[in-house]
Amino acid sequence: MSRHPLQESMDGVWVVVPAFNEAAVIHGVLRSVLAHFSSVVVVDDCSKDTTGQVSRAAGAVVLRHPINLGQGAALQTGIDYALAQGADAVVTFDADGQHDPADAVAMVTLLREARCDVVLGSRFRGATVNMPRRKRLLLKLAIAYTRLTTGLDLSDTHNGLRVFSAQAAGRIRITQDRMAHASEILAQVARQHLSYREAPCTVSYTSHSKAKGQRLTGSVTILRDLMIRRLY
Amino acid sequence: MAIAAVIAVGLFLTLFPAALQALADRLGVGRGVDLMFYIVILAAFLAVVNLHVRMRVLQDSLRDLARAQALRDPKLPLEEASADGRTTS
Repeated sequence: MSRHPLQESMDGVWVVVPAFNEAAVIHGVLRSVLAHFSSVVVVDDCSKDTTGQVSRAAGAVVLRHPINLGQGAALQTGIDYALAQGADAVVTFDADGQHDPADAVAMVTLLREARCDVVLGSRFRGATVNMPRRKRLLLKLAIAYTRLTTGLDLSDTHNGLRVFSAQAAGRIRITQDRMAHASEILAQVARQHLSYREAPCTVSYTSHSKAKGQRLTGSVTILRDLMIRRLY
Repeated sequence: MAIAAVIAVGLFLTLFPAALQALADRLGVGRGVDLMFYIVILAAFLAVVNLHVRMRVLQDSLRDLARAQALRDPKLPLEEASADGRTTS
């Protein structure tokens, strides 16, 4: 496999992939990411399948949570590791194959050219493949919620593809262990006045990613988690 | 401490039920037993909230502990993968 021309400049970038029971698809996902990036860390959130072994065989560093903590906690573990390795930028990338590594490369390039703290992937500026209509409605509600609570003018607020400069990654602290971390990250971006850009990205919906994705009941749980966090 | 206080109050009210009735009359509650019922409901609610907060705090410490263990033992890529030049370290 020939190296991507931008490969050299992607050295020093760490890709964080939170994963839970993704053995069926994660090998292909990691191979495509490793074609562009040399440093990938998979945070295996105590999967019951062989996600960890498959990821190591594919060429990624694997950190395994001894108990299942949730995607938010897995992201923070991966970010901690990346920063300890001296990463100069951190990419968060979903394990289910919904993202395109080429978009991540473009986002890192934008982060450097625009000298901003955070680049957020947006499927509504980019493209979606086979997005269910109900999913679109749910995401639009989430975007409205984010605008209301943080004042951020974003076109896609719950996208797993993000790029942080090392400095920004160090200032963000995810305490929402489960799925409410997406809202929490944006709240911290707003509160700390981090500079951000949105970049178009493609999100592909497969039967696998749809089965693992969030449902309406999930967003109720997210709202509850966000409310509880304000109480103490 | 809290349990000792509950036992003491319970003993007192058992020995002097009139005291409870006097308090109920003062608060506009019909019977002393009804007043006790309301107090117990309130106390139970506060206990649940208290336990919930403690559980969340405990969960946060557990998370930090699990994360520390994961970070202390990173599994590096297996040999087959690094053989084609894609080493990470």
